[in-house]
Amino acid sequence: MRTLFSADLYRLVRSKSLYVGMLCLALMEVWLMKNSAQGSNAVQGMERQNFFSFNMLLPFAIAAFCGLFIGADFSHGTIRNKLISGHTKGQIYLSHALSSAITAVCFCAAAMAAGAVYGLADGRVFTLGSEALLGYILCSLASGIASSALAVLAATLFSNRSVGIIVSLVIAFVLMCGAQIINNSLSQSETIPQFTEQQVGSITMYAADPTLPEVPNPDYPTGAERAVLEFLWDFIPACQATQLTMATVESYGPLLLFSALFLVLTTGAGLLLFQKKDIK
Amino acid sequence: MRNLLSANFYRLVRSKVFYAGLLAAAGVEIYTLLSDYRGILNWKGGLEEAFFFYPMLVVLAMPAFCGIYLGTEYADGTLRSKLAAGIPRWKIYTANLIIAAAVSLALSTVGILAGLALGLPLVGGFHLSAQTLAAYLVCSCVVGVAAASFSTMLALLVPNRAVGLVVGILLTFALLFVGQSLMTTLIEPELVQESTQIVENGQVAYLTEYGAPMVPNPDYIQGIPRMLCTFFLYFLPTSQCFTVAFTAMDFPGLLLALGALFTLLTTAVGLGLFVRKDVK
Repeated sequence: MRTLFSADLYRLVRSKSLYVGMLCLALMEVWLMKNSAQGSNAVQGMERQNFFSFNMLLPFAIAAFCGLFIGADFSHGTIRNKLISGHTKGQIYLSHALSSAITAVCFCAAAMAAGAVYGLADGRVFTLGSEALLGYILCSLASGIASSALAVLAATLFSNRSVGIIVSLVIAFVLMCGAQIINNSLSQSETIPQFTEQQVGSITMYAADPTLPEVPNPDYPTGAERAVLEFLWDFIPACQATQLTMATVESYGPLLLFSALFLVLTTGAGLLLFQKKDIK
Repeated sequence: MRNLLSANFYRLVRSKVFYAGLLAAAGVEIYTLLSDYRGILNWKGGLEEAFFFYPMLVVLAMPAFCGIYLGTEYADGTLRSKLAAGIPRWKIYTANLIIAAAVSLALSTVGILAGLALGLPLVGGFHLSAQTLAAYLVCSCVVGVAAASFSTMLALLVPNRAVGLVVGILLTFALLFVGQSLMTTLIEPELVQESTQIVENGQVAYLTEYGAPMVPNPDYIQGIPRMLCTFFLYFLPTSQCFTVAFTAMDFPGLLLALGALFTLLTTAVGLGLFVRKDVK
């Protein structure tokens, strides 16, 4: 296992994709922070000025990286050589997972470093306490590592490198859209005002009628539906990334535990499926 | 040329990626209609409010399709065989461009048919005039062809299929964000209601004085910046798709002209570089 991992690390530090990914995330972080200091954000802390928004882009970067890095093993026949030389499928998978986790940490570090240097140079500060800031940083790293586990699963299950890349990116996109849908659902208010047809001059419009009592919002999730949505909101890395971007994380412990749970489940599923996979 | 085209079409109708794209186009259209039809019925809107989202899928799908379908020419050595058989490079590029354009039109057609099949019984007809509807339909197809031209250029200039795929898809995502940003910038009104910013304990609120005279909007851009934003909004396929999707296309003639210009420019650049490229 040590030999496998050191070989993967050797390849990782010489991989252009790693450095291009770090550069892209750093540039995107600076661009997002530059565009954030407008309106109400201008008077708020750096944490609300898109400092943690790199978490939304990380799943795409890590999906692309894993597709290229791990996919190369399939396309060059390296996996077959590793199996022939006596390494087990489990060792190969875990080595890939560890390398990808390190890549996720590098991506996070590059984005945060670029964001911090730009923000501090621009005269911005964090309004979070040091404990809260540490919590956000650890949750960002944990979310990134959880995303990398999902990307490794997708890249390892498809022998065709191109298909693996597309599937990884589509999964990242679908999860990002799903996170927005869950956020919209959970943000719904319990009651809404009643809308009636009102005449303003010659224009007929629908507007909220303050004279009528508010009614239950049909889009407000309750009971089991709400419980499931709240679980997914803390469990899925894309949802965690949305919370970190909006700086609305309420408690760090549960988020870290859910990231760890996601990592364990995804890696476990990947190991099982990879064991059964026919390496042609 | 005829042989090239017939070979390309023969491969296309047997390509799983093509049918996956058609399915995705229909799926996105159906999903959008099912998500929005209740709101459209409540507000007595027309079908156009949820109909024209298929260009956004086409813009994303074309880099993926071209990366796999055209990238295979490098990976399998087909390109070298075609050159060895004496086929000029400009014919190879043009045949691939025609195939990509045909695929984009097929995806748009499937999106339109799926939208009409579900949308007409669900929501009713369009609230646009026949001329405007025709303009939107034609422009949505032009957006797809422009995206196809850009994707063909990338796929044929990057010899590594996986890298070409990653670059194409991630570049498209980034340009979609740019497109959304342009759209948001240009829809800012010229005048807004006067409001005062109140900051208390890091929380920002705005006190709006209704009834007071409207004041110039500080976020409203004019002059050369507005011209440039409008130009790029109607020039890039990744921004054109937003104007079509949200039925905010103020200048259909401009979109047609700039879409054609974009297609010509990317074809000229792609062809010029491909003819000089060292195909190993």
